[in-house]
Amino acid sequence: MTGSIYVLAAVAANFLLVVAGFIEFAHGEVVVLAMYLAWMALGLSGGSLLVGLPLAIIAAIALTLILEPLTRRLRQNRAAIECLILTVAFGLILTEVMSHFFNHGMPVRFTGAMRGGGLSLNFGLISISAANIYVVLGCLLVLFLFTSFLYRTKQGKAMRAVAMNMETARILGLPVARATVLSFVITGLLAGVTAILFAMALGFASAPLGGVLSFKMLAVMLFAGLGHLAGAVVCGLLLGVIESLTTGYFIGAWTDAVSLGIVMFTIMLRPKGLFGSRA
Amino acid sequence: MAGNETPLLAVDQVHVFYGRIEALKGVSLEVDRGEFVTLIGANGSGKSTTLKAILGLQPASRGSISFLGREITRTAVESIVTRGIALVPEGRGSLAGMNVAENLELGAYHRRDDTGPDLEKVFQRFPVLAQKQHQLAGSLSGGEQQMLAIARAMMAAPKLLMMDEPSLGLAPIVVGNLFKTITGLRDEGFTILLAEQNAAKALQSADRGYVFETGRIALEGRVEDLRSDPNVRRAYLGGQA
Amino acid sequence: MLSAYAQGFLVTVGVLIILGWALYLPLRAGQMNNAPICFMAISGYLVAYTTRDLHWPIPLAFAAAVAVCLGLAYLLAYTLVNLSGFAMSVATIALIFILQTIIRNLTFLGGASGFGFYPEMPHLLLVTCAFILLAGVFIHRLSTSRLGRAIEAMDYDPEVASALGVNTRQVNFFLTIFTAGLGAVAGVLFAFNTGTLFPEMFSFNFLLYGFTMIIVGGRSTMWGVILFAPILWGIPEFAPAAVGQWRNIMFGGIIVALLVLRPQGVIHKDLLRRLAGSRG
Repeated sequence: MTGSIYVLAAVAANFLLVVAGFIEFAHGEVVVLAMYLAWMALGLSGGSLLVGLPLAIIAAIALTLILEPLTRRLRQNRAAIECLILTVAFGLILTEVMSHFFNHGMPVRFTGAMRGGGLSLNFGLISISAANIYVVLGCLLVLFLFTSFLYRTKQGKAMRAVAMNMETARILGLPVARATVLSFVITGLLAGVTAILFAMALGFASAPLGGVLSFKMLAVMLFAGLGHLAGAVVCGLLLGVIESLTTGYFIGAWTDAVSLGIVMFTIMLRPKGLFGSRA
Repeated sequence: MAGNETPLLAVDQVHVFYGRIEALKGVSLEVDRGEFVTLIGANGSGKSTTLKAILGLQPASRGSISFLGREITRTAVESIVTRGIALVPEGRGSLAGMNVAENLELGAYHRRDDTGPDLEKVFQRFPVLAQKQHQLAGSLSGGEQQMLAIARAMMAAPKLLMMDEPSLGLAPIVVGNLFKTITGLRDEGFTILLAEQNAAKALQSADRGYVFETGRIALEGRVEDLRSDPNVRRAYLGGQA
Repeated sequence: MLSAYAQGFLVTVGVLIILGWALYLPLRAGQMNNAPICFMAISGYLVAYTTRDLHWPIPLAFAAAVAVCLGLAYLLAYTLVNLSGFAMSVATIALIFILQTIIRNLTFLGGASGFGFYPEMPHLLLVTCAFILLAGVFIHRLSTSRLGRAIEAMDYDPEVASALGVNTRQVNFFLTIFTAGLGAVAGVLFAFNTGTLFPEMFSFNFLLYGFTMIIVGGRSTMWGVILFAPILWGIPEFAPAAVGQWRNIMFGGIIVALLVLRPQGVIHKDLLRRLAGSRG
């Protein structure tokens, strides 16, 4: 179930990678900061989802969009390492902001409507909370809409063309600059939705969570192969499964290390990722 | 050349620099509506650069380019394509990960009218593409990809169709078919500007030609005259009849 | 002589310089390799443990810590050299993270509550300066050697470099081990300077400080690190306490600002060339 969160994050980051040409290391931090802002909005509006949800999305879009002008020159010069350092630094700034300005650095909790109203379905001995169901359905819906956009609309196809072969895209007169900016917006949109679903799934947000999410997202991307969108779906779910299995066998803090260790090990065996890199 | 009508495309004393290297040293040429003009010359002599400068891919640092009577020298590529210039790039530039139909669709990206009839025409002219509609462009042969590239350019309903070295990498038989297709297009009314290394074929099919040498135009004229010019024959046509 | 506070400050600056160089070298070859930070943690904890609990004499502990790190680096290098740029940076960040978790869970290393040890290294500042001198000379000689030019070529374009006969894997291998050594030395010096070790010390903070120095100082020369380590460390130290907590945000902001406005850093190779000799 957290697997679907990893999927959304990795797909969004892979998408931005193939269209705009760089890895958004700070995507996880953006998602979590959006969660924090949503929490703030929910607090101020008395738990109104109508205020909280759109705010999360708008915040995520703004935070991602801000990276476009910042990275533009670096992307034009193909300065991959500098882009990397920039987004890592950006992520660190966001984490610091979260630990200093919200709730005195304590984690924030989501309750009520944001967690599916505490409802659950019971199948005999198995009880699944409504929140979990919303998350999985939400993720499926988003993926479906995103794929339809990419494969059925003119703009989506243009973006895929830009991702595939920028030179040809220019020759065809496709609006390359506009498509690139739009890809940032879409990635931000995905981040916003991820924030909402994550809040629903986890029930809380904390400052270090951003870094952890970014990190796992990167692990999934490397695992699947950089830029491979479909691969990210499979590997994101796989990581989610591996994590739930290891939580059973290992105590707390080791879980993260173990699941990441497995992923790192795979990367070292197959440096291009399970499905082959596309970037 | 009919001098009383403004040329469709006029390139005037254009210079292009790649960094500090001057690739085009004051190139001037003209293309009239309905003409088939070819640019021939050795590798690196500036033919491709000229086409790229016209499309706006390589900015011209000096000189001017006008199309349909309007300046396009410092215009963005997107805008130039919308005005009606299409380029079939060197190396075909197929969008390998998309299928044939999608490639063709993107060729018509800027058009707002119904592209159905043009698609029909394209499929009639290139039945192979109709058959392999749903196949990935990357899996087509060299000759088929060249057809796709031309068809894609046609889908833009361009007023000027430019082609950059289409015969490169193709087997001789395929090249023959290629030139038949190109002359067919000219007969249909397309205005064509072709950069070609295969001077023999180019001078057989086109109306007029420009001979490029190290970034300059060394010679120009009707292809019959160029074909019989001794220098041209020696340098580009194997020195024989 | 110098007050304990001044000495502590200078040693920290020295540690940052050595760490800075350790992070600078792979970057010079076009790669982001964060492993030196891991080795700092490993050597720091090793030296702390061996001197406090095993009562080893300091020089032995020092040498052992560095040796262990070099050995581990040798093994690590086999896998790291196969990774692409992004993969290497993520994998090495992963290592930092994984190492943190391991340290936190090893109770004999004090875990999250820290590992305090009291043996002090005499002449810590002198030793630090000695290492800086040694490392500095070596790196300077390196940058003017054939290997140095190979590294520059790799930064410019790894494929071109390969075509020119540079064995990129060998160069990366060497860099991994050498920077691990630098990291190990920095870790030991840092441990003795600090007295109590917490796992959090060896994580993103050092990454942030290290890269701020390199980005601001200039990623194409080694001198930027020397110039900016004291400046970047000194300003928040000597500023009022309220500013201090903003240190990380400031550094992050500085990195972003510089990468947008002047990615090559303040001191760039060409700038040095122009200053050094006016060519006609």
